[in-house]
Amino acid sequence: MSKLVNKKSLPLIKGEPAVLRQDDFRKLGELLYFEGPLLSHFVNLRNEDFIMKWCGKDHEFNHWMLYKTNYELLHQFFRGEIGDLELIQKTPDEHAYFVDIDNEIHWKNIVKVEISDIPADYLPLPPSFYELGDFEPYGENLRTYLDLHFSRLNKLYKIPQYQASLVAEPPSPQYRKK
Amino acid sequence: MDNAQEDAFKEFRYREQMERLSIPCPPEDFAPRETVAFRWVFEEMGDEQNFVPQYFKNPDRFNEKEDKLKCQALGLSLFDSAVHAIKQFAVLRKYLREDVLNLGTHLAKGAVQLGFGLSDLPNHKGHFTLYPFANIELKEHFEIVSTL
Repeated sequence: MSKLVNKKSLPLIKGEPAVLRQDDFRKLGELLYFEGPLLSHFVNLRNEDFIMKWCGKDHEFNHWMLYKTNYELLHQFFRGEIGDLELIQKTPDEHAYFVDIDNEIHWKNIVKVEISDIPADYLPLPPSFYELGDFEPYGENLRTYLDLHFSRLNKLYKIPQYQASLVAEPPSPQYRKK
Repeated sequence: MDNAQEDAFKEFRYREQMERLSIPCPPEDFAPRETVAFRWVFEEMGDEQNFVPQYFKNPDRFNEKEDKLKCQALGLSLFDSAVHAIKQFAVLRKYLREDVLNLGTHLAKGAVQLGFGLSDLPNHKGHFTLYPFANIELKEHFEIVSTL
């Protein structure tokens, strides 16, 4: 079977070489998928959330953008308050990583790029806003989970200080019937 | 695996790659199915990319080592209706640059018959996967019906 190569070539990325341990990242699921991953949700060893977005490929590598995110940003994205461009631009790290992945699934040529230095060809322009049902089942479940997560936060009431001791009072002693 | 299944397995177009995986590929719930099917293709039905699974589109588009993904990538993506096929294309085009995606420009319709391979049932987005047998040339059974 002959191997096919994408016709599109992407501009080179200018950034600072970086070291990321591939084994430190674990995929939780796919947001967009077609005959392979296109937009995936990862976590690192510190349980920090990352999005890995496919950017294209050349004859040797697939190019991926990896950027940190968090529940708040993902929730805003799923609610349509921010688009996919802002999801990248508001990354808590203020930078993204570009990773080349070869046929053996080895992460190579990792480059750290400040958000403002990412070439337009790698950014979602114009930005897109999430609509219900856009994502794979994992992504839709994540949206539901985040809705629930943040709705519960809204229902937490602050306990007045003078009542805190009542809340924390130990259980009453057990009495044995004589 | 009974004899009938074993015979079928021998005839898969990508048998060699499937046998290298650590999991059963195709998964056990795949079966011969007769159905109308739609697939994203390029303008010419003879385009060599039209019925080539992702697995062979060098380099493989994976971001994790997992045989389940490799098995999925050995199948061909089809849709059960034109509406589903067009809608899913629009979703991917919305989030990813079309010129980079390179997944097709036209919609082709065909009739998948029992002897074409093994497939699963369409999911909620109308997508299903076909693992074709070696002797089937799918391009002969599909025709372009619209642009994407």
